[in-house]
Amino acid sequence: MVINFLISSFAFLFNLSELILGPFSPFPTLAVWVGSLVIFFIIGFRTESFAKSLVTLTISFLIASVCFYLMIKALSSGEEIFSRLMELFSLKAIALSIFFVLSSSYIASFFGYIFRR
Amino acid sequence: MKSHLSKSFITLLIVFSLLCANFVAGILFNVSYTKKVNQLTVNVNIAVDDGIYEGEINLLVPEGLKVFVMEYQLGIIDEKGDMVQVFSQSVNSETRRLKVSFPVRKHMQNWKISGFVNVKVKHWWIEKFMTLRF
Repeated sequence: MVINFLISSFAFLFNLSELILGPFSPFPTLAVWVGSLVIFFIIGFRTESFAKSLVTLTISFLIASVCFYLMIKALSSGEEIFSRLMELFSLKAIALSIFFVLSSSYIASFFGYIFRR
Repeated sequence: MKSHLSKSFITLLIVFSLLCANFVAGILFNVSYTKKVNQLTVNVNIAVDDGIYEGEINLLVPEGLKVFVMEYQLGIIDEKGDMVQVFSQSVNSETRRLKVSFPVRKHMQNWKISGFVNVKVKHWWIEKFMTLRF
């Protein structure tokens, strides 16, 4: 259970950092997104009820968001960079991407749940 | 149970190490790209000689940066601050030097020269279009 939380938190963190790094990250965005969907599928596959996997994903998304916020704050030495990054995340397109990542994680875990033996 | 736990642990380690590697490499590339682009400058050496503006525009490109010049735009600014375009050339090559020579009227000889170069900058896999003003 704890490992499920940690793995999904890291997967969400991976997606969020990909959004901020953009073209500078060596991994292609599609690979990160598909990889994290596979992880969410496995979490849905392994958890005995779908409600549990929903709770796991929601809490780990919140953990990843807080970790990401703290990570940016620690990395950006100047206030200017921090406020610029926060402005970036308040953009509608980025907010929609984050929402899309979360909802696609639910869908992937649901597919994992219905395809379990 | 033990093998199940170790599999999860290995997955956790893989995801965590990939995340760290991606983040650190991304930040490092961002820093090196910004440094290189800041070093990229345009050296303009144009002077009036007998009613003719003559000289050259040089792009000073730092090592490790591939610069593909799209076009040069050169203009003369009058006393009011308006730009009167006099020279424009599409290049579409890696040529970093452009020789310029064009005649101007007498009253325009003391006016300022200004312009920009549109370039495509490539550093590893990062490719961006940018405008260098002078």
